[in-house]
Amino acid sequence: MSNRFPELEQIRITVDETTRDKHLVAVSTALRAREHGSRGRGRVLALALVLALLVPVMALAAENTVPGDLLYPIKRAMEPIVQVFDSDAPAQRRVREIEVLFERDAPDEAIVQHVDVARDMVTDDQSALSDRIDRVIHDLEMRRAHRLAANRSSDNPGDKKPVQDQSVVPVDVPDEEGEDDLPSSTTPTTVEETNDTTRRDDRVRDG
Amino acid sequence: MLSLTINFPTLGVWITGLTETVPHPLDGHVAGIRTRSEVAFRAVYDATADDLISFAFGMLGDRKTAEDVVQQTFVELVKGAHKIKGDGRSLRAWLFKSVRFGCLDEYRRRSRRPEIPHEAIPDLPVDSDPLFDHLDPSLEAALNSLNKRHRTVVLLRHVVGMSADEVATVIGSTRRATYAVIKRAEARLRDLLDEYRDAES
Repeated sequence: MSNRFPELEQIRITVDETTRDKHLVAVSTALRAREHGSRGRGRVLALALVLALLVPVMALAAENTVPGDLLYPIKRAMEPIVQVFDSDAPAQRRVREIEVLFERDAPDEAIVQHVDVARDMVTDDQSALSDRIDRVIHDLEMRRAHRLAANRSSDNPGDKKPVQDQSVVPVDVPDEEGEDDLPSSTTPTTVEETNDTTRRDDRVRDG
Repeated sequence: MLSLTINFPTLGVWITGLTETVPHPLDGHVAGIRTRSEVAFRAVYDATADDLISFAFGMLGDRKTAEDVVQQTFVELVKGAHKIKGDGRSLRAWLFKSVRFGCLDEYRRRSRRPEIPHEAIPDLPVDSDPLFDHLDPSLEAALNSLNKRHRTVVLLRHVVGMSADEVATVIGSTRRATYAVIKRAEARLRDLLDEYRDAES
């Protein structure tokens, strides 16, 4: 304090206990609110950031999946958003999926099942898509026929016996019969059974 | 030493140069304030509250409002604690700046509020000494006649007991300009106090 202005002495006051307590409570409250607020905000921010990064990454990763893939449900879940920009997109994507399934040598049942899904989505005026579905079905039948033919030819007399048929041979061929008689006597039943076995083998491998 | 600082600016600069190297009592609490430690806040409050409330009381002439302004200053300190830079001196200057802005806000609020004539205020039961809560009328009249800048520097200088350099930091001015403002404010206050005392007698 200055002795030049003794009048100012009365301005010099001290904080009383009540005021001090009140102020310190206000400080504690502000400190606690700050602590909780920043923690809560931090959590929300972190979550928002993770979601903001995860959603587009997952959506992008799911874009080229086909039924049976892990991320395929995400692709289907995102479809309403894609549909907003392109209403034909779901049908086109289903057809493309059938083609990819076929290219990947997926089991026939899986492809046929997905063809049904695609047919439900493709409308009458989308002839290009219908054609593509028909082409896949055609290719699928060709592949089946090809397999059948391949199995038949593998059982033809004179051809070398395929390794996988060896399991069939002992069942159909009695031990006492001569080896030379084997092809002619067993042909009708063996062919059928071999075909079935091969197809089952295909399914197991593809599945 | 303080009058030397004002009367001989060159010597004052030299003295200030010496005092700046001296540790400040608040130095040890700055880190605690930055990390929002309650202990540090309490320590800083106890070390500064009297000065801050006296300054606000001188600025506003009303103890209750002065206390509210100081409380708000500490709440603001909690919010902006991570931005506090420098040492204890800077922290003290920050607190006074904040109280100063709080008082200026209060002036603005008062100017928007319609003036209530004294006759209209009923005699309420007084729970504290009115003389203690309000300034002496002649002193209040003298202070009210000063402009806000002059009032600020006079109070910081003669009630809080700050050096001219500290005052310069609080009002955000240069040292040289602050010396001049303090000089003019002191002369003006002297005149006003004499004037009001003569009028009273």
